[in-house]
Amino acid sequence: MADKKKFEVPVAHDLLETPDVAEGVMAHSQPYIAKPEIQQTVGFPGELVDNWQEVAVAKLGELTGKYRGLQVYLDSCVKCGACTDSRATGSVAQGLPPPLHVCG
Amino acid sequence: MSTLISTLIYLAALIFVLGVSRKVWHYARVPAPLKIPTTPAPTTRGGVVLRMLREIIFFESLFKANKWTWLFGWLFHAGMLLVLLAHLRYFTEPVWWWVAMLAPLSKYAGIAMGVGLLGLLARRLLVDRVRYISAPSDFLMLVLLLSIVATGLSMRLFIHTDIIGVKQFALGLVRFEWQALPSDVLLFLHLFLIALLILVFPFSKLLHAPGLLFSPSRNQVDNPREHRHSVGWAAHRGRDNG
Repeated sequence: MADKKKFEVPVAHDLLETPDVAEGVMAHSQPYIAKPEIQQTVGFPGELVDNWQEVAVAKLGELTGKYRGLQVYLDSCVKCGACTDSRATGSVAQGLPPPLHVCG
Repeated sequence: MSTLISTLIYLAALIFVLGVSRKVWHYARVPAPLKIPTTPAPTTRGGVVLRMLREIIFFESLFKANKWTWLFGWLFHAGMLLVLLAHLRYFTEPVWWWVAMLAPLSKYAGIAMGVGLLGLLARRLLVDRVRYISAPSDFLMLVLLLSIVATGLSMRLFIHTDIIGVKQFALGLVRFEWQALPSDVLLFLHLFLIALLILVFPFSKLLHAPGLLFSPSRNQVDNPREHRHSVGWAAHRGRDNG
């Protein structure tokens, strides 16, 4: 137990503070992109294709026909905002898409 | 005017039935290949039935997530249920006894609807992160419903309309013998907006009504170890290497 490392431990308050919405707070967050050759072996083109919007929409259309949950959540989300309060996730506050299952 | 509104109501009803059936058919047909009940979840079928009932009647998960949204949302929906049932008096002859009993309550139910909707609208306007995720259609639904409640309550409380005439008109719709609608701007607006609401139902977030029943995160039993979950196109996956 030599060399005890020092960590900066954030102070936990009784009430969670919800930060104000600020655009771009997660702009620095990027996916960890695999090398093109690794992507190709799992069926991705490796580079961003020109018509990526169409490809993405077509893929979404395909997936809504394969996963009932996706279609139901896309149709049913009333944007009540409860997921923005959800302590389990708080993902919307962090700028991520809401976890639709919180309400569904 | 009567012909216009009658045609519109029939059209809206037709599109509603076809549109919602198409959606429900799609929900029922597409498999839910993943076992994703939101835990803690019931481990038996009966438990799931109870969970769904609590969800439908009390909006349990919304209650756990956000008390204000729950309060206004539940007030609105509970009020709407009573108001809809009370409106059956226009479509039945003789009026069923329990519908007649609801008549004095419907006034307060209408007010509850209005309070709920105003609360939800205020939330969308005042809470910054809810405003951030609100799209024009979210406001459209609230304003549409508020207008329906406002015109309905006005006729119920202040500027009474010819409800005998309304009943003849409504029964005419049911019996396919069109009758004249009493000429009343509020009444016309009320019916016109309702037709509009029914018309957009199959293409909007109002689909959460049937959608709730098909949500795999609510209606699945938490028994992935006891029973292998293997359905639809994913049925053959993982059988060999699982």
